[in-house]
Amino acid sequence: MADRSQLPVQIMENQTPFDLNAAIEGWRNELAAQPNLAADDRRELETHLRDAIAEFQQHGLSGEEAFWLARRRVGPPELLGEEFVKAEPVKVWRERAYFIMLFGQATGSFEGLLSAFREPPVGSRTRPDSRGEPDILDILCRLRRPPRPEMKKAARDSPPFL
Amino acid sequence: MLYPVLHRLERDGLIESEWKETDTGRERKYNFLSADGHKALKAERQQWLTVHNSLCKLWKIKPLSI
Repeated sequence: MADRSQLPVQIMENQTPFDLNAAIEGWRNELAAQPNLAADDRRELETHLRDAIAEFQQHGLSGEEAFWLARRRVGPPELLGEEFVKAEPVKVWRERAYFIMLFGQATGSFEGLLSAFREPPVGSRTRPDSRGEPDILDILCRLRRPPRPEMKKAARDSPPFL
Repeated sequence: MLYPVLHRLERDGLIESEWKETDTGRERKYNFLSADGHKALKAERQQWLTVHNSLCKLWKIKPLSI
């Protein structure tokens, strides 16, 4: 009980004034411990940190508030090291291109499937929004005609055992 | 995190950078799009527009002219 009532007082007494330079120095050491960051990268990140601190202080934040917010904006040092060497950009682009192609094809065949159930057929659809450029969806729909729905219907209508 | 992304863009040759001294006397790194970056941006834009237009047709929404 006595401990609990003393606790806030102790915290107040133990609180040392925030030293911005020491905080930046500590941050710099954290960054230096990251194996993936070159000296030039660290130099750049520090300018970003300092710029952000200055910006936040101009908005009326204290040195301590500005430091922690800036630290957060630039990114935690241990994650920065990972992010700098993350996934070869070429691989990322290749994956994204693949996704877009797959996605375009999927919507193309899906649209083709839908249009097969209604008139007019795909090629002669009127498209008021068309501005004359070649349309990848139309091309895909022509290339990838789905099976005709009449086939399924006929199979369903005929009795299976007769 | 923004800066690792910029770093990777630079490694990929899509942006270039330059250190310049600011009014406050500190140096700051400035980034700008390279010629390859402009090309990549154009291609990227076209790809997203293709996806956008596909979805608009699928959902029968009039595509926004961008």
